[in-house]
Amino acid sequence: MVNETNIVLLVVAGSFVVVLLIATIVVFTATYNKLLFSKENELNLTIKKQQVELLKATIDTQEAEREKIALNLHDEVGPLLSSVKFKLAKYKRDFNAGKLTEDSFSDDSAFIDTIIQNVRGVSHDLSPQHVVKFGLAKAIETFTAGIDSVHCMVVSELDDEKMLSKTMSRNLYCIILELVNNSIKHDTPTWFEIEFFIEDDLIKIRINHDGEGLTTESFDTFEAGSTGLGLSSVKSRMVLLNGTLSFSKVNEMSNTEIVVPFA
Amino acid sequence: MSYEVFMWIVNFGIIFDFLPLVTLLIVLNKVHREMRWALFFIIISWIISDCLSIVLGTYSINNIIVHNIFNISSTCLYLLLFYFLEKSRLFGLVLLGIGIVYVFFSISFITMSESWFLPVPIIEIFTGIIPLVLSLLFFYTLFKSLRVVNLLQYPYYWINTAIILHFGVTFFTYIFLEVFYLDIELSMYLWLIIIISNIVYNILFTRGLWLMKRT
Repeated sequence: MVNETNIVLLVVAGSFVVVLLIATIVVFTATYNKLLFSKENELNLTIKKQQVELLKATIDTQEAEREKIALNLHDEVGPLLSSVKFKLAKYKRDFNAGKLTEDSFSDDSAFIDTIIQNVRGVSHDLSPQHVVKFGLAKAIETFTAGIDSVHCMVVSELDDEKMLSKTMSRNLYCIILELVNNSIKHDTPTWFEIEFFIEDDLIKIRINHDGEGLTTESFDTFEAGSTGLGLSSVKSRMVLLNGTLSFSKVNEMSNTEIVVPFA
Repeated sequence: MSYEVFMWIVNFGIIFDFLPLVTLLIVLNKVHREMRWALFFIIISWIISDCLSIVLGTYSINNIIVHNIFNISSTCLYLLLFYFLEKSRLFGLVLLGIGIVYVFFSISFITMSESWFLPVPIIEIFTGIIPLVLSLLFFYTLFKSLRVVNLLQYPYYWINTAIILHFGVTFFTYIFLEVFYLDIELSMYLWLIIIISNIVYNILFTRGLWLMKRT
């Protein structure tokens, strides 16, 4: 009798333990999957938000570009062409009055050159073709060669720039141009050094100079308070390239680092 | 239950011991080298222990010494398995400490109580509780990190489930060991539970190893 009771006790207790263990595993699996599902949903939501932000950044950049071109055409090319119109009207009047001489046209060639240069500038802003033609580093070198007030040096480890896509090259070119122009305007440096190098799957661009410079925090504050389109365009382009932009200051030297993945 | 039926179940159960070994040999090149050895020794020690126990039992030779030695070695191998699963220096040191204390305590206790040929419930409990706690800890870390996308396709989920079920059941049975061991029929039922849990363990372990084929 005692023996049978013990067997029953053993079977009941044993079954309870087995059921408990199985239940633990089942509960664990179900909770795990539920948690994973909610995490996946959260991740999808974040991706969607990022996509919206990216789209917004693209539209913002395009708008900024259009405004810049419109401004260039309106403020620079427009007045020059108006001047040409007035000059032509004056020549007509002078011709009718018999006052038109060869000297009347003496300044016109330089004037037309200025218009051509301005149109070329607008065209470059619209699409910097020389970046695609000659490569990013060469294009930057050409750009810095035109800066007289500051000594500039370009060091590049980019052996084969074919690995950079056209979009990437153009965007990086615009970012560097904007940053360098801004530094010259606000930081008053005496020299500049722009380095291009590759680390693993990343392209790194470092802009060093001896000017005032910024920190990442001050850049964010500056960008937030700025009414211009330049810095927000830099930020938008960085988002498009999925890259990072950081500012630091080491031993009186200001560094700006742009890190962009190849893919 | 007659002794013949019991022995038939014992012999039937031993077939399942070879399932993980065959599966491991099939998926061998898919398993990480260190893990491969840990799994191999766990499976082999399991087979040797069961085969030796059956042979000695058939000739009515006391086989508890095999069981005691297997307990100590298998616990050490499980510690190694869990170290390879987590691979953190601190965790490794903790496992090493547990291993040293466990081996020292087990050998000293069995030797001092002259119980090499007797079942020692306290050692059995420790043998069951160590892999059980480590498995639960592994599940907890999985839960915290959510690093596995499809849990049911993750090999170590099945291996861990096998360990939890088997050691949970054996841990429970060993608590009753002292009470039931003197009664032959009751101890037969007790061993029957362990054999059934062995079969479940081997099936789940095999499932885990088989999934390594896809990795």
